Amino acid sequence: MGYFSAIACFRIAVATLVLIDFCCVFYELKIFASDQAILPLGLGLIQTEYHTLLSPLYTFMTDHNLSITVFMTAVSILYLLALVFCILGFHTRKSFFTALILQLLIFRSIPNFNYGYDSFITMSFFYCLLFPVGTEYALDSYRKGENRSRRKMPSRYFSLPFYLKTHLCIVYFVSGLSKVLDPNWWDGNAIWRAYDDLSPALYVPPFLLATLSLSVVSIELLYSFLVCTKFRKVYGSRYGSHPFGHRDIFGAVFLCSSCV
Amino acid sequence: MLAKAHYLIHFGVIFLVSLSAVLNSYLMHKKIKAGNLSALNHFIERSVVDNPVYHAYSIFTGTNNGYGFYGINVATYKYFSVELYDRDKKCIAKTHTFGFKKQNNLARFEVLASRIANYIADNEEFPKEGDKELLKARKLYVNEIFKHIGLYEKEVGIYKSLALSY
Repeated sequence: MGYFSAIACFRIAVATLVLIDFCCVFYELKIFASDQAILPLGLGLIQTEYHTLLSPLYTFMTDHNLSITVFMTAVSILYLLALVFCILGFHTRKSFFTALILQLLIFRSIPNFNYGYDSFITMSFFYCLLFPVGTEYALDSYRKGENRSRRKMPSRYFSLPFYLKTHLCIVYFVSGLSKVLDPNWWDGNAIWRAYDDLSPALYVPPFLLATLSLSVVSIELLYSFLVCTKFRKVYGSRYGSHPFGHRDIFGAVFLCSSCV
Repeated sequence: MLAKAHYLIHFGVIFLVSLSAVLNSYLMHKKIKAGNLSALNHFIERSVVDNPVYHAYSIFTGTNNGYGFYGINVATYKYFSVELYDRDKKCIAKTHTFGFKKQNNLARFEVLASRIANYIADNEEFPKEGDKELLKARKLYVNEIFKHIGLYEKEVGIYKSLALSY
């Protein structure tokens, strides 16, 4: 698969995953962000770095009796529309810019319900904005009628796969480093804690937990080196699909990044 | 040249900030407040993390986090549970799903439970010589969170559905 096709696949995969996930959030948006939300948005923003950015907006809305439910619903519908445009590759850069801003507005308004996945999505949108992901499998390519043979391969330092590879190397290395510094990862205790919602009927022998723990640490620390070898694809796909508790969608984003 | 400069600065800063986050967790876990590692961490935080230009850039690029997934001192699974009692102290309703029908959304909600658990643990270990008003505000914040979650169940969630079914 060529460079432009590969980065177009990344665009479609990421935007589709986000669309699926956001449809779930939209279904129960009123619990997260509305006038009847489980936590008032202002309270949720305290103690976060987004307080100074977003709190004035919601204070203004509350002071002027403007409905947060209507605002959030409108923003969410725009976001869904932007995601569909991103998948189709219609005005790709503008669509990704809009999606990025709306994603920040929606999810940073509810920072207590965010996890690493949301930052990865922001990062993926930023890379899709930076790189020409709308040159293949996109309405833009038909609309502009660009000559494919004139496209130039970018330099090594400005290619999406190289950016993603470097980013994942840092992510896995730092994650492995933090694990190796904790003795709980040496004896399997940490992996037991992470999965302690397993049924009590399921007994996992300590040696198996220790082996699993050490394997995770080794895989993460060695990722940066092995990703440069011929095992990259298998390695990336296998490790990219590892479960983050109940957060399978997070694993799916890693899988997308690993496969490009 | 510009592309190379962006690549090096972008990933250099990400690596530095991630390393600082790991270092910070390690120092907090080991309760180390002085020494070379602590000084290095303070230097990175003051020169990079607290820089307003980096701050805006990191929010826009989604790089304002540490990547120490399940790293130092892995926490156990946390969740909120609300029980409603009548005047005879009889439990009339109980929930830990808060009306969430999608597993994905419940997983998001459980992030708050983990954060609040960490927050309570930090409050309990708050230094005795620390700012008393700050500790008071932190405890008030935790109480407010619990109050709103409890009230939500009373006004919107299970209690309301019980009242409607009678």
